[in-house]
Amino acid sequence: MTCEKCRELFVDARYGELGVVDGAAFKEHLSSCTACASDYERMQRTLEIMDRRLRSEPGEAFWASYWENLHSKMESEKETSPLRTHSPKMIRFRPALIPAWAYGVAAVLLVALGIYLGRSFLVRQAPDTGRRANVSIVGTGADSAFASRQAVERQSDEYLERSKVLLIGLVNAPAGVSSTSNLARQQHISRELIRQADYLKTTLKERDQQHLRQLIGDLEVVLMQLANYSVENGVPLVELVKQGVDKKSILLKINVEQIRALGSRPGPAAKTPKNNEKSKI
Amino acid sequence: MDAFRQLVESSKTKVYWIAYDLTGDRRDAEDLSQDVFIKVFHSLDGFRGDAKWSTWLYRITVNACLDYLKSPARKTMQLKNQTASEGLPAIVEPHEPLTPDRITESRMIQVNIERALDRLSPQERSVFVLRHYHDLPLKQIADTLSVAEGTVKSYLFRAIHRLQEELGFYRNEFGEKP
Repeated sequence: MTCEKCRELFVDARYGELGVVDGAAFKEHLSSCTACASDYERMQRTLEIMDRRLRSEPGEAFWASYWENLHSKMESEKETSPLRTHSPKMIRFRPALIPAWAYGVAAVLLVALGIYLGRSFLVRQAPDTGRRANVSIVGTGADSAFASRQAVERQSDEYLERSKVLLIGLVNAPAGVSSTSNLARQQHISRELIRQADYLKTTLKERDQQHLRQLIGDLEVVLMQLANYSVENGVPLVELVKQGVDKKSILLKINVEQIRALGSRPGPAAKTPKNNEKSKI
Repeated sequence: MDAFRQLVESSKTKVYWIAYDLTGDRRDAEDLSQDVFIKVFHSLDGFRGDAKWSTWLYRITVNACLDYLKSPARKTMQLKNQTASEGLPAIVEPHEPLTPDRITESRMIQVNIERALDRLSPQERSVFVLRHYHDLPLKQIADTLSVAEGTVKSYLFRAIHRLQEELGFYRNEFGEKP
């Protein structure tokens, strides 16, 4: 037997799959060739190391509830995708007497009907809607100024709440939990908030709205860091956001602002200009 | 359904251990073993009976595991687990007293063995675990993976050679003369 042939038989020999003839020739070659004997020995040692591998047993509870879990998985799968089952009754839900083309015709008719109804009713009603909108905008000068101030403040409240939720979620996320899709979503939200911040900063012009404008400006810096964050930066995102938030005490300021808003701005049941004037005094 | 239940009960441990050996993760193996039986249930009509039942079951198991190993979900989980020591099996070696050094050493061996297995290609790993840990004859492995027996032998040879390279530093410790 040549060394090459002998090496080809290493695997069969190790796992007892050598025939009698090959087995005898293999043993004979190993006894006369130290190089092959040494290589075979090395392979044996490696496999002995592999035999020391320990494997994790699942808990007893896993085996005890194995069938129940499997059965419930299969049931829930059946509910979510009824067509996957092989029951012919489930697949033949279309009555055999109606030809397939009839469904296509019905769909076209439905679309046409929808377009007709839309053109007939919605287009005619549009001018009325516009008129009503104009009436509400015109109003009296004081009313409209108050209404727009209220709207901006409501938007600011929502803006602060959204930012707060985003930042708290980020700062409190356990290490390693944030995934790429999470990051992409958080960056998308922060970009939206940055756009909104631009608008709010130009709209919050009153003197008593200065602190709110300042807070939105501070938040914008942190949100920009988040929006432009890249994994390649090296600094973990959570650390970056934490630094920004802590430096300007942003969460504290948002809480203060929310408490202030609760105390000074009229609630939904008391949204009248008079009440608002009183609260300012 | 009763017949299917019997079938599950009789093969669930085998399926679990193959899934475990292919993924190296207990939780993955638990989930995959159940997914395998769901697949089996849906494909029972396709079982022609010209292969052994066990070969057919192992084929579904190996394919499910290989699909999972290729999936992006698995890659993400792998990244997360790289730093976690959780998931390593408990050290149970009753023949030797468990000193802190022994525990550390044993853990290191486990880590290195798993790492060496991870370095194998999916095909090499499948062939190796089916032969070495599940004692399947080469012919049955060939049927399971739908490849020629010679190909299986070649994968097995390459797998062992690569394990030899990965675990070379342990060989002296286990008795080989330098």
